[in-house]
Amino acid sequence: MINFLILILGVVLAGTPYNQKKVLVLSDNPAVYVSHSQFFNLLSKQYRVDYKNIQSNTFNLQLFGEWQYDHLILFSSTVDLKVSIQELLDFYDSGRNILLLGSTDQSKYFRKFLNSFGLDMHEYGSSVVDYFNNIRGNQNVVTTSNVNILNVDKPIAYQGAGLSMTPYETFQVFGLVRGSETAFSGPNLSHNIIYVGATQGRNNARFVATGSWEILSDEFLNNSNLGNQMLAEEIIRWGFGQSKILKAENLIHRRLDSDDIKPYNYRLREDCYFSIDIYEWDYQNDQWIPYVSTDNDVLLEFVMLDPYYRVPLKKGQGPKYELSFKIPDVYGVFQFKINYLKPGYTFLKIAEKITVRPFRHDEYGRYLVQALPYYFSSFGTMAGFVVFLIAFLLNK
Amino acid sequence: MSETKFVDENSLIGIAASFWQQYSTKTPQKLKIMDAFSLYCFVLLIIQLFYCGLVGDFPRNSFLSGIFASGGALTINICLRKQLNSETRYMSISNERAFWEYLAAMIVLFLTVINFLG
Repeated sequence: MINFLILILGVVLAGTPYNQKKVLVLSDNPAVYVSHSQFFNLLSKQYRVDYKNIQSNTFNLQLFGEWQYDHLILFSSTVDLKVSIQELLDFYDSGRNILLLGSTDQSKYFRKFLNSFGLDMHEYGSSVVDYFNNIRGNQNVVTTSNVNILNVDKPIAYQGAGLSMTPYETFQVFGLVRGSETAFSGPNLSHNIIYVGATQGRNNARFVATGSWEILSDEFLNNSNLGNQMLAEEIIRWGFGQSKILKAENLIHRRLDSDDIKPYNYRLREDCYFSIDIYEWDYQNDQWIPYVSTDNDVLLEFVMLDPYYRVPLKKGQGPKYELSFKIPDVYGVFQFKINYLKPGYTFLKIAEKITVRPFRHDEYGRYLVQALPYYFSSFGTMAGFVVFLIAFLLNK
Repeated sequence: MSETKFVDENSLIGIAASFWQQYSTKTPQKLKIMDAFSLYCFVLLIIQLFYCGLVGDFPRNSFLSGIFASGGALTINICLRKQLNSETRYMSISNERAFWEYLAAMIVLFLTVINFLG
């Protein structure tokens, strides 16, 4: 009876807010709860939100070694957070996502925190200016249509400081919303400004940063000509790990003509079959659906110090991506490697080790015409030996 | 016996001729049979090496087994011949015992050759 009641309680509570993830919102200025009320409405529909002041002592990011929150939203301020940057980075390292809304007068703490993710904010007091793509002639409120990864089709309005990326090419830092070509910022008139930048760590945790509070404010969200409403929804979805999440499982490799999964070893020049199931998380239906890669770009590498093959996997039934190929004429320890780093999606890094053995001495070709002299000489020696024996033993 | 010498004994041809004369008269019949077999094995070896030099040793295992057969038979034969001659004997065992060891070695050799022949 008690078990039944507990079961009922569990089923009831599973769908309620007790099962949702917790988000911590830290800000310095209580006016933000009014000016961003629509954004927080969107947030509270799916998460349990805690609003705390940056300076307050009443929240603990970490209690007895367990993280109390699943995601974090920071509104930057001129004062430092009482939590150290290292603890925030540990929060990120544990796989939890962070959204940072910066402003041009934020303290060094927030600038340094931003730098840890490969992003950088423009100088103190600067703001993005655009004389061509702006709203109602106000050159400080700029618009752009240059959106990557997120699913937004109207121009985004932005007001505030710009961000820039690290100057070298990384696969982890993305410019989600980039400025238009006519925008510039700061005394150095820097171009190629990023309005909303993101970093996805190797543990697939996501960090989204922007240089203004106004991009998610009610004033822009309520404007139906702008895409800020969609941007807010997309930032919540992508930034907090609901959309573009991939999962790979059920790795199978076997000989092409047999059914034994993952045999002990392969031989040179054998036919091999490899398949893997890749799923994508469907946030609308709360389930994993098969992932469809748009341009045949899931590559399989067959590597022993150098890749011997680097071939795209073919899409099979459902979530299956498969390939059959011939193992090369080299023996050793190989790895099947998949290194799928599509921007915006979680990183898929898979490695599976196999051994390839050389031929056994009875697996070489038999009765070859080329080896006839050797056959003749071996049997000739034996025949000669028999003749010799007869002559030797019968001789007096 | 005194024979008339038509060639100069100190030249190369003279050495060969006197060797051939000594060999054909002094060695017993059994050792001559053994030498014939050794020569046969040696010729087979040379033919195989010549063929390998022409075409290359593609079926490596077959090449090895052919060479091993002829070269090994040659070696074992030479060992027995050394044993049977009282001047060059190197182990103090009887002739019959030496011959049984010779047979055993040849059997092992041929088993290996057939296994590796491919």
